[in-house]
Amino acid sequence: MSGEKNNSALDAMVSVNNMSQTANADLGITQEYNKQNRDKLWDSTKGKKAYKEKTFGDKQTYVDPITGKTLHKDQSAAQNKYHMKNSDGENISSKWADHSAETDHVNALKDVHEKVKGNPFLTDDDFKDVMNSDENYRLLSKSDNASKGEKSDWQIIKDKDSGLSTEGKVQMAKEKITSDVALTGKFAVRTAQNAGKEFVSGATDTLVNSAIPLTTEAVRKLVNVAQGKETLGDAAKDMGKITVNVAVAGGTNKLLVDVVTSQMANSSSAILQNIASSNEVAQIIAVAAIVQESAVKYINGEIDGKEFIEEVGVKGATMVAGMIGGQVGREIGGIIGAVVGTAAIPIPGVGTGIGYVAGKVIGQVLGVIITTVSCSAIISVYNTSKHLNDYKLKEAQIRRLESDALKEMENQRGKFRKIVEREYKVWDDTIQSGFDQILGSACKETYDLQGVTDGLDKILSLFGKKVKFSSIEEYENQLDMPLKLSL
Amino acid sequence: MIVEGLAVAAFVKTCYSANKSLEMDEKALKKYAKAFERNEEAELLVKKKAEYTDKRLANVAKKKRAIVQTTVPRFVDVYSRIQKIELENKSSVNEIALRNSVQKLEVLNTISISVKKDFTDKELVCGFITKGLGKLMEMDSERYLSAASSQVRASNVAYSQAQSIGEAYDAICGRADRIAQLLMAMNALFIKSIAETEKVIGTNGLNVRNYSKYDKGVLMTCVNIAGTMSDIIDVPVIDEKGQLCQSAVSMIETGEKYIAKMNNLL
Repeated sequence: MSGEKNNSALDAMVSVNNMSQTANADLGITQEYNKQNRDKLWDSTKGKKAYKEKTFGDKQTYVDPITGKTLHKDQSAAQNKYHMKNSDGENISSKWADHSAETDHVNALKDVHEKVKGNPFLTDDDFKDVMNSDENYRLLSKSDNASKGEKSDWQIIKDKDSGLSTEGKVQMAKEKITSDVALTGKFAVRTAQNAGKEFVSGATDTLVNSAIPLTTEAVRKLVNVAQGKETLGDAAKDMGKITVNVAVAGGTNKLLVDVVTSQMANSSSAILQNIASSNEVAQIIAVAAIVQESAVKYINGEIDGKEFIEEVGVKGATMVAGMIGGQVGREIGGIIGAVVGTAAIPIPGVGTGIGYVAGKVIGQVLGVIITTVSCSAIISVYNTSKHLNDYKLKEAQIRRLESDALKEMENQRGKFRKIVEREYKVWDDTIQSGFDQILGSACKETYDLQGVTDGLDKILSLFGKKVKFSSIEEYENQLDMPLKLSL
Repeated sequence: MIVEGLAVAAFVKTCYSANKSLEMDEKALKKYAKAFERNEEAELLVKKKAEYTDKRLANVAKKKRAIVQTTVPRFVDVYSRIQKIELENKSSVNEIALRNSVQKLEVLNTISISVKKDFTDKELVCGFITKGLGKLMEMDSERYLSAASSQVRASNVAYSQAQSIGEAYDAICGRADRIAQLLMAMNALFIKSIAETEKVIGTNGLNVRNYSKYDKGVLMTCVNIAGTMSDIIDVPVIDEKGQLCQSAVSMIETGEKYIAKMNNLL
């Protein structure tokens, strides 16, 4: 990569960074094609007249290279020359119409409108300007113009009964191709200009030179993170070093990154917000989005390895071609559609042959790289993704544990209550019975020493104890010794 | 226009996901509030039971102290006239034992906080690839909500454990009140018996062997009541070897095991 290209690419990045998303309310082509819209919005009488003037110049006649007919600049001149009227003023011939020049569109407004009306980067004015450019004009006779009707050039060329000579058909094909190429280029430039200045110029070589390293490295980093070998932070640091010099994709990636970043920044998740603050990480993720759809299909067995390579290759090709040729709509739409989890938004556009070829090569290489580097990782990605729902499993375990715990704890409390009730009943009954016996035996009139002693014993039995003396003899025998009490 | 259009589409989708996420986050916050409130209730329940139990235990200690400081000296004063008494004072030891025996119950095992686990880098990238950003945001909130729900469940277990501890405290109070009641009843009997003994000694002199069988029986009963008082004072409010205590321990340990399991899962 030359220094000059680097500089221009870096300038482009700076330009992108400085670019504000100015909303152009005129963007988008009026969708309905009808005579009123055609005449008012897209056709240009002035342009046609100017082209005719320019083509004839100072001359009054012009030889149509397709039909070989001599065409007159002035319709009245043709009418006079080919005797449209007799001396009485009656119309007697229409031959003049074969020689009266009219400006016509090589590519019909209706046909091209159908192709580009979905490109939201174009305006009605863009469409009018491009369609009424000299490259899409030609002169033909009034009668040829009328008889051509809605037939395309290719239909006329293929038609054996068109009456055109071989040379005429070749000429028509040349004009058609020239016009096609010119229109494609003009629409691409308009699209790119409207999409952002970063697409404007010189991206092709830079892209070809740097898209592969960028993408390869991004995919490799992604795989490392997916396999848990590297953190996003580490990957981002390395990616930062690489992407600083890769301005190319700067343009397109910037758009991706901006959308991804804005979504992340809108998230309430602190982690996602942190990621949004790192452009490098967002770039890795933007590249990840490229393989998303195909990877999931591969994992689900919907496509095999070969198809995976092809699919990713094609996607890479169209994406890269789009970057160069202006077919950004569909690619970015597809990628961002995948990013936000919606279906791809197909927006037809046009791509240049150079861009497509470059993109195809890069895409194929990309496909192989992604496949060889990441096939095993895809399984890892899928497995990790499957575990994203592990919290549900954990919640179910907690729910079950709660249910078991509450049931068992209530059960234990029930048992405990029964034990307490039983023990206290024994306590209450024993104490009551012991006191009844003591009080019943302690009255002086009916004093019963044994009854009092048994009553005390009954109470003490609750604690596994017995009275100190169970008889008078026992009591008398210790009177000479000290009475030991613990109180 | 395409970028703006797509950005709008992305924004709408993001807004939808963000709204959904916000709703879930609000629910999660409410659940966390409910869980913490329930935890507070559990701790309050244990605290109140502990305070009440303290009072009941203090009541037992008070009764014992009253007996030891008032009735026992009276008994020693009366009975030591006829027989030497060797008295071992143990009331202070008992009070400490009473308090210590229940202190460990006051601690309700703390429930861990169930914190939403943030996505790892690996999960983030893989989730992004296979789910898309919108879904990833929703999943992030779902994790938060799930963690909050788990917190509520954990707090339910904690509350149940508080109820179990409460049951144990109730049982302790029941036993403490019974011991206090028994001490009061026995003290009344003891006081009556000391009075009767004093009367007998006053009437018959200091040589017990000359006493009638009835009078000897009065003295023996008084000493037996003193011994009974000693035994009852020795009775622990919580008998660690008793069935009640072991059942309480088993009940509380069951709860602790569940709380530990819950903490492991959170």
